[in-house]
Amino acid sequence: MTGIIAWPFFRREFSALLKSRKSQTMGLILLYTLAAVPFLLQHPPPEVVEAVESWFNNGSTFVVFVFVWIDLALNKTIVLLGALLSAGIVVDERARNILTLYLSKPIRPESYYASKTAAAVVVFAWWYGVTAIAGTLTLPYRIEGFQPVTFLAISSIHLFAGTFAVCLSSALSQSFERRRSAFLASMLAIMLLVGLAFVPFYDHDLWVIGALNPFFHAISIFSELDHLTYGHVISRILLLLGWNVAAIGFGIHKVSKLEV
Amino acid sequence: MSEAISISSLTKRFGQLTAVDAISLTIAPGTIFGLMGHNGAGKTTLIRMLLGLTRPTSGTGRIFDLDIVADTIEIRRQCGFLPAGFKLPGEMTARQFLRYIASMFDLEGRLVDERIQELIPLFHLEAFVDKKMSEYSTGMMQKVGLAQALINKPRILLLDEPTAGIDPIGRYEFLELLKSLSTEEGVTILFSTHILSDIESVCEEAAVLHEGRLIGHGRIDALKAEHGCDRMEELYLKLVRETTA
Repeated sequence: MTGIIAWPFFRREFSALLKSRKSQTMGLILLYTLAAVPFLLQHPPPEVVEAVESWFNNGSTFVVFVFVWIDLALNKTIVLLGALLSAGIVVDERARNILTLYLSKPIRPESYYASKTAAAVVVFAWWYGVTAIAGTLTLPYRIEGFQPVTFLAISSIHLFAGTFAVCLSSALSQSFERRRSAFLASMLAIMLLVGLAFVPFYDHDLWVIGALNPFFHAISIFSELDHLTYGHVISRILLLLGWNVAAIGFGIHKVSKLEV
Repeated sequence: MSEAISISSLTKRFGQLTAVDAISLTIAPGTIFGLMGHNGAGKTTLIRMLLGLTRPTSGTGRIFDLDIVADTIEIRRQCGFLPAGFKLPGEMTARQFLRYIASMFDLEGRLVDERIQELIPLFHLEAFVDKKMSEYSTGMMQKVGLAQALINKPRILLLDEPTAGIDPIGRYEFLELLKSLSTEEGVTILFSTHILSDIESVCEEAAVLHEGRLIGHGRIDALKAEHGCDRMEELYLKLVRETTA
C-alpha cells in the first residue's frame, strides 16, 4: 500500500486538509462529544443500562460509559465524519472540472486517490487521537471507575472502525458523479453498518451478519472488558486494518479504470 | 534531434463516435503549433491522448522518444498542460495551489519556492499570489493556470483553448508570453483554439481538424499560399467547405 502513496503530495494534502474548515468542524464535533457525554451519564436512561447489563453481564458506570461513548456517540459521529472527510475525493475534482489538470501531472490516478484517502484517514486519526488523549486526561475526574488503559485500548480498536468509514466513503464515492450523491450514499452505507453492528448481541444466531460487519468487530470487545488482553486488542486492530485495506483497494480498482 | 511530437494514424472512438480519426503529424522542437477546429472537432481528445489521459483506440504517438501509452508518467513529467474550462480551487491561494501542483511532481521545499518566485513576476501575480483564488478574475485564473503548467519547466506545453474568456489585453500578454517561452526557452507549444487570429499571431505551423479528421496541416504561410487565401478565417472556411462539399 505504501508504494502507491505519492508522499510529497500526501504531505501537502494532509496539511491542507488538516487546516480546512471540514477538519476543524470535525475536531469541534469530537471535542463537543467528549465534553457532553459525562453529563449524559449522570442520569443514563434505565433501558440503556438494562441493555448493557444483559449484553455484557456488567452494568458498571464504566461499561455503560464505554457503550454510550463508542456506540451512541462516536459511531453516530463517524457516520457523518467519514463522509464529510472523503466523499468528495476525485468526484469533487471531476465536478469542478479540475481533475483533468491534476491527472495530467506525473501522478497515477490510483496514487492520487490513495494519497488523498490516506490523508483523510490520517486527519481523522489525528482528531480521534486528540479526543482519546483528552478523554484519558479528563474523564478520570468525570466518570466513576474510569479505566484509562482500557479506554485507550478500546479507542485504539475503534479508531480503525472510524478510518474504515473514511475509506469506505472514499471508495463508494467513486461510483457517483456528484459529491452530494456520494456523500448521501456513503452516509447511508455507514449508517446501515453501524446500525447492524449490534444485531448479533440481540440474536446470537445472526453472528454471520456481525462477522461481515467491521463495526461489530469494533464493539464486540465490550464483552471482554473484564479480561482484556493484548491478543483481543491486536487481533481486532488487524482485522479492521484488513477492512481498511480492502475498502481502499476497491476504490483503487474503480479509479484505475478512470479516463478523463 | 527527434521530433517533439510525432503521431501516426492516431484514432480514438467512443462507441460509434470517432472523435479522432487516423491523424498523423509531427511537430518540431521549439515550434508554436496551432490546432484549429470548431467545438467537437477532436482537438481536446487529441491533446488528452498525448498526455495519456485517454487511451488511443489505435495508432501510435511519441513525445520526444517516449511512447504516449507506455511512458505516460515520464511524458507528464516533461509536459505542462492547461485544460479548457477548468475551475481552480477557490479556497486556496495561488501560492498554495502552485505548491500543491509541484508536490505532484515530487517537488518540495526551497526548490519549489524559488520556482514560484520566478513565475510570479512573469504573470504579474505579485499583488494576488497570497489571496484566495475565489477572488480572481477569469484572466487571473488563466494566468495561474499557465503558471501551474510551467512549474516543472516543461519541454512541451499543451494548451487547450487557453485564451477563451480573456480580455484583449490579457490575451495579448498571454500570447506574447507564449512567444517568449518558445524563442527564449525553446519550449514546444501545442495550443488548440477556435480563435483563428491567435493562431495567426503566434504560430508558425498549424493543423485544421474537422469531425476528428486532419483536413489541413503545414506552415501557415504555405497553407495560405496553397489555397489562395490571405487570412486565417478564409483558409479555415475553405478547408472545412472543401471537406464537407
